[in-house]
Amino acid sequence: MRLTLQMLISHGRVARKMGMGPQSRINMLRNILTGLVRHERIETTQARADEVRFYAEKLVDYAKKGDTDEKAMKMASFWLTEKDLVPKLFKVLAPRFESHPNGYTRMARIPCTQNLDRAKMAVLEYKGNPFPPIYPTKKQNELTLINQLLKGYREERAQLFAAKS
Amino acid sequence: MAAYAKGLDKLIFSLRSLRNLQLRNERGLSTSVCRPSPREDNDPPKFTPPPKPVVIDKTQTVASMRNPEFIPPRQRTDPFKFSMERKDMVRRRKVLNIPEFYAGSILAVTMADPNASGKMNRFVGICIQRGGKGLGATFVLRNIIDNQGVEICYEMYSPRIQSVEVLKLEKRLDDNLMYLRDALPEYSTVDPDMKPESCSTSGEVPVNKIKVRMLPKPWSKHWERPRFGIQGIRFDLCMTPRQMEFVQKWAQPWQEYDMLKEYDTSRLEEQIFSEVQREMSKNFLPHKVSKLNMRYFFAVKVTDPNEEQRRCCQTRMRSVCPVSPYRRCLHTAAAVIVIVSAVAIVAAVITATIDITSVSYLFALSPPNPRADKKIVLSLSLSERHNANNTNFTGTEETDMAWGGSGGDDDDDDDDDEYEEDEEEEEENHSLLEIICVYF
Repeated sequence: MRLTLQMLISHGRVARKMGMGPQSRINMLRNILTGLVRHERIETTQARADEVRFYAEKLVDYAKKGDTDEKAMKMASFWLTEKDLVPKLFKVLAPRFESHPNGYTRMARIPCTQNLDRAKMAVLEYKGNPFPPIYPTKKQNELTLINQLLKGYREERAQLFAAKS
Repeated sequence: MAAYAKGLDKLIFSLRSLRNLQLRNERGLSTSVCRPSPREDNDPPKFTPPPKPVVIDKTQTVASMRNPEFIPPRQRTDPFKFSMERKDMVRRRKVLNIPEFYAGSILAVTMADPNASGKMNRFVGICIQRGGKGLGATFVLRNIIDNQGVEICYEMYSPRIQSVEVLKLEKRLDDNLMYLRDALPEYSTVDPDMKPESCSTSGEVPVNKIKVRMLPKPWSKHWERPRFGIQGIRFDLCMTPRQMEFVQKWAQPWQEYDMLKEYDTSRLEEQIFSEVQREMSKNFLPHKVSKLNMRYFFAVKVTDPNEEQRRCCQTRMRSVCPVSPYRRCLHTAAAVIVIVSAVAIVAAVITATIDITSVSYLFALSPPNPRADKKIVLSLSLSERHNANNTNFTGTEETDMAWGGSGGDDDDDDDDDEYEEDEEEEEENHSLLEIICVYF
């Protein structure tokens, strides 16, 4: 093989190197994707989560084509190693994301590293999953002084406005 | 799981019945779940098994197969660059008719060549590869002439190409026929005096399903490996089944499922081809374009390696850009201005003492125009050796050689005063100050 400089320079390469080669990389991503489809929220390393995110969204795009589509079925059966998840993909996930054009997944990086190897972890989930949200919305406490004053101010303004009109 | 299975069955059945009508129109499928056709009561309805579904997996549209160089590659470059290129491609196509052809078609290309007798050379060959995108799109023609295999790679949008004729329009089983180099020579020979064959009446391009016999191994590339995906070679004649199995070691079956490698260009193609069609239908000019006129005079550094060739072929070469009358006026106006300025420069230079910096400034004033076809050359090269303080520019026909040659003939006596004044400056500017202008 001709050893060109282009082979050493990785400009424009989007696929990360993972595992022991391209086959190993695809197998690893397959496993993670299967886990994601089964549990809808998983925790992995940040790099793997980032790679799987693309494939997860593309898989849902294929699922949206419907299970009568030959190509979609082949893709689903290749990527999901556990075959009982194939109907789940087509029956549960595809209808869920019918209204979304893209962006079916959410990735959140996790601060604490409980691992021995201090690997940076991330959580990857499909939107619309039944678990509590990763980013919980903080509810404002209405009973604090400032919030009460603001509430009163807003009510007065509303009254004035109503009185004028 | 059981619930899934039940629901699945019902759902599939209902889906199928819903899609029946749709499918029948699209794919010509007639399933058994359709309305009963009117038949005689004597004959029981014959069961005709439904035909196998035809999977038409078209990732590339027809238009893109015909002209693949219009579709930009998957890059981070600005699409504006590609749209600019497309404009130029369309302009060229309006002048030169580039017909539809594929790998496997037989083409005849005439190209302008300064060294050939009659200034043109014609080459007939089979197209083995179409590569490149945009203006750099190329195609390679192969033929065997006097027992010597010859491959010529032509740039489709090169101004040297005078005509492209398709003698035989057909497709092959592969897009890339580079394996013909290792095939028997009979498969690459094309008669140079071949007459154009009439194309088929239907719109479809005929596919030649020929399987080529190869020379004994070793080949230039391992054509049997799955990464090339060649269908058009008779492997059964040159390789044993054991060898074929061994070759599967290099197969990468996961690649067809790798979604990262997919590049869906359908939407992009629609946009691009609609734009191209619009441009082509606008101002469609006849193929014969008027001869080149002298259009531009200005100062620009010429760094063209094909200068000489261009000079020879000037009269033959067609202009790329059609010029409207309004533009012609502008051009002539610009030309006049530049002539006047050139004359002024010459006068200034002759009368006054040479001030190198001022000369360069004057020249820099006139803006360069990259689309000139005929040009004037003024070359003043000032160097110590040649003492080129002379300014006897006569404005006559061009001289390629540097002025320094004629400068040696002049006497130094006349220019002594000037020379002394400028000696200091000359020492500063040791480097050759070359202001080469365009020449007629």
